[in-house]
Amino acid sequence: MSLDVGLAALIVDVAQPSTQPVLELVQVSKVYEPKGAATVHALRRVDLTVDEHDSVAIVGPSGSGKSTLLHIIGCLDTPTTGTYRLNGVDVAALDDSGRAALRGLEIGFVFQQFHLLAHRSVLENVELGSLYGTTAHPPKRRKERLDQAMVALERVGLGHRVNALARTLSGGEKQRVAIARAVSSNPSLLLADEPTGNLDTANTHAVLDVFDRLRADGLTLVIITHEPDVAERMNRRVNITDGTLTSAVAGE
Amino acid sequence: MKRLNFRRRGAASSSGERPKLFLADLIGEAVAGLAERPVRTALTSLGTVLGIASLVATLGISRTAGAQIVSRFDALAATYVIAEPNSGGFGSNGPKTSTIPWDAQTRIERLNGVVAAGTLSDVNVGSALVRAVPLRDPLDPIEFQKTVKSASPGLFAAVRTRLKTGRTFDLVMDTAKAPVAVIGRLSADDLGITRVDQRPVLFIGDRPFEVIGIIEDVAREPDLLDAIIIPDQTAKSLYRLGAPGSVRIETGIGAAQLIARQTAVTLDPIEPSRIQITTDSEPTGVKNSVQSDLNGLFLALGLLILAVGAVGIANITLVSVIERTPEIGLRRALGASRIHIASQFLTESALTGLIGGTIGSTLGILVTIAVAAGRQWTPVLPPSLPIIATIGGGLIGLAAGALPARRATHLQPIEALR
Repeated sequence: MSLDVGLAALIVDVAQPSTQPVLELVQVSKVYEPKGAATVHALRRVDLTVDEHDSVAIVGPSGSGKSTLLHIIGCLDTPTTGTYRLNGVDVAALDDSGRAALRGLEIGFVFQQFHLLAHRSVLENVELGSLYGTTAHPPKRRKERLDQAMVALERVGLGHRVNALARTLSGGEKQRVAIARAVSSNPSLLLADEPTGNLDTANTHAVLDVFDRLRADGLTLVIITHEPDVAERMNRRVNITDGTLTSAVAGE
Repeated sequence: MKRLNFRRRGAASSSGERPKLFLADLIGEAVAGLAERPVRTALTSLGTVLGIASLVATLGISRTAGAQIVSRFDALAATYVIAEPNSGGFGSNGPKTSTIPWDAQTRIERLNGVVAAGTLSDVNVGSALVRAVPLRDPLDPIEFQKTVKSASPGLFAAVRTRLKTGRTFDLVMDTAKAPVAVIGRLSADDLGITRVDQRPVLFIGDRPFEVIGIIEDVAREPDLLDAIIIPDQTAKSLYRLGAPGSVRIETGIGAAQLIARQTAVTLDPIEPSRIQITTDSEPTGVKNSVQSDLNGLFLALGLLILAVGAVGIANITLVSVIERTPEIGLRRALGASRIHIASQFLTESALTGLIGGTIGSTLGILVTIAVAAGRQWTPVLPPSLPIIATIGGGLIGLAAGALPARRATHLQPIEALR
């Protein structure tokens, strides 16, 4: 497999200097009104802007609304009120299919539970990250996807485990595979939901090292965590309590 | 180490974009999904395997049995031709528009493909009864109303008679207008004639005929078993038979249709259409009847098994959707649309059905061949059946996957990932 080809495929769309943030939330609120239960204000008038190459940690206790915020940023949910723009696209104006296209094109996800397909190889799991395309950006052919997956795996330090089945990996390796899958499609934003929540200290540091390398590559990163060590590795930290952003603290 | 270079797409991701997945990738994902759980896939397709195998075996065995029955009938029916003068528009009782010539047997026997031929006619003997003369008590004769027929010597071979005793009359006897008779087994029983070595005599009215043979069995024209058969020329001389009533022809296998066409011309060269030719078409009906009986029973059974198989696929696919909920969430997060999710589960269930259809179809063919081999029959299967059955299996799988696929599309990504 040619790594040069894979690398070339990842270097895409060398754009003009940016004039707008990668994501911009303006007065975003999310209200749930379950039948027969009290109304829940998950987010209250949230304003958040993340620029290109920035890295932001969203920190808060359980039930504070950080997962809801991540879902909205990840186009998995829509705000009840307010405006959310991702790379200039008004997400609220998109239907379910349009949001799916936007997710596939712009966002990479890393989950606490890894969500790997246990019976598939490491390479096949990472390849899945670029399986779906859009009408304007059709999916790449399999060979090209595999090349991209190889580059991503090399970057997270798992180039030697491409043929291992996902179920045979350690927790840290699984999360690094999940990160490789998330970045293999060259997204403009990586969203990580408690990426180290299931890892021991050594694996946590290994994963954070990978994030550092990706940030050095220019990745824009938003990470949800309740671990101070993780938050400190980001450029910025945003605290959220009861659905409200209470503070924004500079990181290291 | 290679660096990843992340660049913003910016306005490249416009609001009009839709998710896209190549068909080859969809099929690849479905195959991979099935291959990840080989035992489950095998068990899921088992219902389709049994259903399709039952259907194919049912149709195959019934078709094979039908063909076997037909081949046995064909051995008789496809080698028998009857020629009669056409009636003049008043049904079988109307005046005849043509006559069978007296030398019909000789003419027909010249045709290539004819095994045997002979004329057969009803002889009008008025109200004359038939009686035998028992040698022990000539003063107490027994009288019967019997059908009297006349024939040319070749008839007995053409209708495949088997003699109990004696012989049939020959051309010399016919030409000599000899007063001889061959009688059927039933007539012989009525008349009390059991042997011919003592040259028994029967009387038709007052005319004596020497019984020279008794027919034990006849493959065609079973009426002859209860009849008195005398030579054509004897009937012509004694009972003013105007012309032979019909010609019965035994042909070689496969020659019946050719002989049927040639017979009319041979018997009436001037106006062949005045001769009516009959070949037996009964086996087609028998074949259809046999196939219908077998098909009705086993098709119902096969469809029942197939329905159970479809329910099995639907059930397991539904379980699979529930079990793979996180995977659905992941795919949605990676950019799959609801249609992509539905398509994947539909493709997986259709492939499961297709696998079942292929294996079932093969099993059905093997069962048919095994049954045919056991009976020393020739296996007969419509060439399209295995293909149709395999595709049918796929369609059943597709239909069975509809409900689970619908359920999968209704899963919200957040719920699925939770």
